[in-house]
Amino acid sequence: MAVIPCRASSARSSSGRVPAIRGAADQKVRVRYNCAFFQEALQNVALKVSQNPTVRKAAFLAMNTLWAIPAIAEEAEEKGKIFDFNLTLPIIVAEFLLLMLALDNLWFKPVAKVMDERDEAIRQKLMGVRDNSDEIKKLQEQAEAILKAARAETTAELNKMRRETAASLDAKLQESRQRVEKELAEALANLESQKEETLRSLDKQVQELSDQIVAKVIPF
Amino acid sequence: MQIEQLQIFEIDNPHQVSSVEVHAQVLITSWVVIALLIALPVVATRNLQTIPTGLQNFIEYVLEFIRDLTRTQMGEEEYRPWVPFIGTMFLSIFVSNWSGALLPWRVIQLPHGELAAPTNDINTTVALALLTSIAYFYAGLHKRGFSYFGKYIHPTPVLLPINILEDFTKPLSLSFRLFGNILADELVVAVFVSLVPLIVPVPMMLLGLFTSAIQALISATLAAAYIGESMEGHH
Repeated sequence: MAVIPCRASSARSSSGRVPAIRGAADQKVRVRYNCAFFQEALQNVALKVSQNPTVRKAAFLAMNTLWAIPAIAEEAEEKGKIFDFNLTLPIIVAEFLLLMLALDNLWFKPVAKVMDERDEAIRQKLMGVRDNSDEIKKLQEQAEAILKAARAETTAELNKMRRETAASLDAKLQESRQRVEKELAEALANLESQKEETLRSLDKQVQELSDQIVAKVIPF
Repeated sequence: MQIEQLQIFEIDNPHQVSSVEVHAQVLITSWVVIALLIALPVVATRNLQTIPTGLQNFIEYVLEFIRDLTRTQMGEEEYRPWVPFIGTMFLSIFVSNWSGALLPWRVIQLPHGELAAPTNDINTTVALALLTSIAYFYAGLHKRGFSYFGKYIHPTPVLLPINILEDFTKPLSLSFRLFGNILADELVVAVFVSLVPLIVPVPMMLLGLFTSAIQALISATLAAAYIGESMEGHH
């Protein structure tokens, strides 16, 4: 960008150290103003050298190129450059850094906190579940032990009862057998005595009979 | 007011004037992108619950995606501090590109120039690439101190010029990849729309959406890869 110290632009700068925002049109006006001043100076020089023909030609060429330069500068104001680096770059850097701070505090930190808390809670619950399974195993073993003990108890009781009933049955059996034996013995004794009696009576009767027979047979 | 090229005159002394330009259309569209990116979490984190629904689900998915991307490139121990940087890189590029493709910017007529995606300007993409460069330098120096410069002669000292060149080509390629993709897509769509406004540009627009999303992902992944590579030390 053409920077030309000249009296013409000091009128604008006389407002002091104040940054002013102006449009592109003002820039064009300023450059043209500088161009006018420059062209005057050139024309004075041209008049002085127009005596010498070769110098005149050279001056003519020089003047043309010199006149073209401000025109190029003028065009350059409205160029649509693709690689146009300017103050936008640091402004975007500053915006990005501020956005980073804002997003960190508004989004990443709170949401991360909630997610991490949730993970922690789930992990705690999982650990709790694992401990419960140990307790369950212990309880299961206890239950089994109780069952075993109860089963043993009942079998012992059953056996005892069985033995007792068997014993009482035996006793009753013995008793009845003894009774029966006693009765049998009595009956036998009875029978014996009756047999003895009948034998004796038979003996008596036989004696009587034999006496009768003798009496009858032997007549005397 | 003429918006496309605002010129700021700083008058240092009465005999010299320098002027600095700003591409205001880029600033306007980048402000819109920033507004979108800030409005989304503000709305979504209003009522955070342990069992997420709707919008909270979406922002958690995005954060999980960014974390996974960063963790893949940088490793489990060191990825946490870099999630904001990579996340902002990915989200800003993604939303910029898609806003340029989806939002009806042509409705707003500017006297000079026109509104489009902020990433179609070389200043934006070079700014992001320079930030990535600075980030991976900072990461390397912070983690390894001055022995970070040992990586330049790392496989063999013969590769020293190539390694130095790499420090220039990395930001160059990052910036031009993004810039070229977005600008070219916009120009092609503009040409198609000026030729046949009805149906024909639509496949190109869809392709543009796809490639611009891929470019956001690539930029973020490469940034994370460079940072991870400069932190990882000797193999």
